[in-house]
Formats: sequence, C-alpha cells, structure tokens
Amino acid sequence: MKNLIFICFLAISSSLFSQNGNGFTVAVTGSDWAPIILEQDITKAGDDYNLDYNSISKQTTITITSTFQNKQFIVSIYKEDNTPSWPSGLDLQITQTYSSNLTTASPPPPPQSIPDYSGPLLSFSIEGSKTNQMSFEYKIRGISVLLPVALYTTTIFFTVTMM
Amino acid sequence: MKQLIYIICCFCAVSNYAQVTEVSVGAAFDLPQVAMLVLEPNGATVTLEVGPPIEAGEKAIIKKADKDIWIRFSSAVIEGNTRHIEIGIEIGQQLPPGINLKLSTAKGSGIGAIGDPAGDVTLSTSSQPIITGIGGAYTGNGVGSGYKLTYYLVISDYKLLEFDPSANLTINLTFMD
Repeated sequence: MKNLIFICFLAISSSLFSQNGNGFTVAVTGSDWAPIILEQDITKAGDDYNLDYNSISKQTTITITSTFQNKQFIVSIYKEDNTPSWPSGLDLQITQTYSSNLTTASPPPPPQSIPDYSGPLLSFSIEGSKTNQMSFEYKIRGISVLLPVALYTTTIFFTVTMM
Repeated sequence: MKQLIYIICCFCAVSNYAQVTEVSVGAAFDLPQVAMLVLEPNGATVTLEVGPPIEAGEKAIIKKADKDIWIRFSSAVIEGNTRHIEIGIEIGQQLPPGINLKLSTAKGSGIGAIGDPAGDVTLSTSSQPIITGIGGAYTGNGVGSGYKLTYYLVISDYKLLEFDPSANLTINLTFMD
C-alpha cells in the first residue's frame, strides 16, 4: 500500500511540476535589439562617439504563466557572445522597467552589466499571480572608434526558475 | 525495495520542484568604418612670402607662414587595417619658379593608433603621405590636439627667381584607406 502511495505521489508530482507539463511556461516577446550606429553620431572630426545607445523601455518582455498562485520565480540573466569576441570596453547593460507584481510606480533601477555565464548571474525575482510579466530595457556603453570595426553579436539568456 | 522507492520519490520530487526554463533574445552592434577629417582653422588661407635681403649680397628673406594649421581626425578601421593622410597641390597649379613649398608635420597627439608623421615633405601635384599608420583613433578637439602642420618656403634655385611673382595654391588633404 505504501509503495502504491509513493508511486502515486511520484506520478502526481511529475505531472504537476514538469517543465513540459502544466507547471509553468515562459514566453518572450520583443524583437532582437540592434541599434543603428552611424558615423554621423560623431559630432565633429577629432571626437569619439559620445553616446550610450538605449533600447525602448520594453524591448524584451518575459511572461511567466504558472499553474499556481503565489509562486516565486527567479529570472537569471547572462549572455553568450559570438565571434568576434567582444572587446572588454563594450558593456551591455540591462534594467528592469516593468514588473507585474509591483503595485506602486517606482523609478526603474539603474542599469547593470549583463554578465557572461561564467560570472555571477544577474537575477530578478517575481511572485504573485498566475501570470507574471517583467520587461527589460538595454543599454550599450563603450562604443568607440578605438574598437575594431565589426558586427558584434550576443545572445541574452533568461533562465526562469520556479522556487 | 522500499528504501529504493523512497529514494526515487525524493529524487523526483526535488528535481521536479526545481523547474528551470530558458528563453533568449539576440543583440547586435554593427560598428561602422569612420574616416572624418577636419582642419583648424578650417578653410584658412596661409600666406608665405619671400622678401628682399636687407643688405646687398645677402640671401633673400623667407618669412614664416602667418599661421599653423592643425589636422584632426576620427578613425575606425577593421582590425589589422590602417589609413594614411595624403597631401598634394591641386593639379594644374604651380609655384613660382625657383621656390619649393614644404610642409612640416609635427608629432601628433590623440588617443589610439594616431599614426606617425612623415616629417618634412616637398609638396607637388603628386599626392604623398604625411601621416601613416592610422588605426582606430581620435585626436580630440582641444588646444594642441591632433597634428600641427607648418608650411614653409625654400628657395631651390636662385637663378630662377623672378621679380614679384605670386601664386595662389589649393592644397588638398585626403584620408585614404
């Protein structure tokens, strides 16, 4: 009898919390970010770029749909750069501009650098209803004529963990 | 057998509760080539003069240029590539006989691979480099930024000198890949 109970427990647990089942799903909306950088952004010959490039405030929105109420989710962020490797001065930053579980308006936190996978990951938490949303804005800093002319690309990963 | 089932159940429960899902987006930054050049003062006319000697028997007096020119630039290149700046007298124009126009390029200042000056060159209608090896760099725009260009005259052949000749020349500078 005990064995049967455990087997049932196992089956129920798997069905409820399976990533492929009804535990929670994650959807991402918003296009890839590719700001247009022009020579004309340098205002005068002799100068360097003097700009940080920002995306729109909701460039990426993560929607977490959960079977359960009152679950906490941790969204960890990192990036994986593609070739050519990024110069050290190029800094891709992110700031959370919207969270569905905030009831009062608050200024967005300052941008933080998106780490590589090898570094400590940047994390945001959200909890509350069955549908949770987070939006993010990006900023690229360190654009300079000193960097080799190239197309620098990266993939930003959002890892959602249900606690 | 019971213990084994306990272990399996615990393992499954723990692993299932630590659910992880990953999504991703892309970002791309296309840094363009930059080749921007400016002269300060921009479009200025430099006046050079050869005057008569103070005393008979002495050589003619060559007066200094009335102003120096500063060349400033911003440059971004593909890794491993360099640029240079060329100078030349506009084709069809020429100096008075017996006189050479020279240009001295002083050591420059700026950030990055600002290149190296060629030193003194004699200008002609054939363009020649005055700064080579320019990579990713910018000179800045403050006082003393960039390369100082000083024009001067040299009498190459006294017997060719004529009385009161003059010439207006257009000098072209080009940023070359």
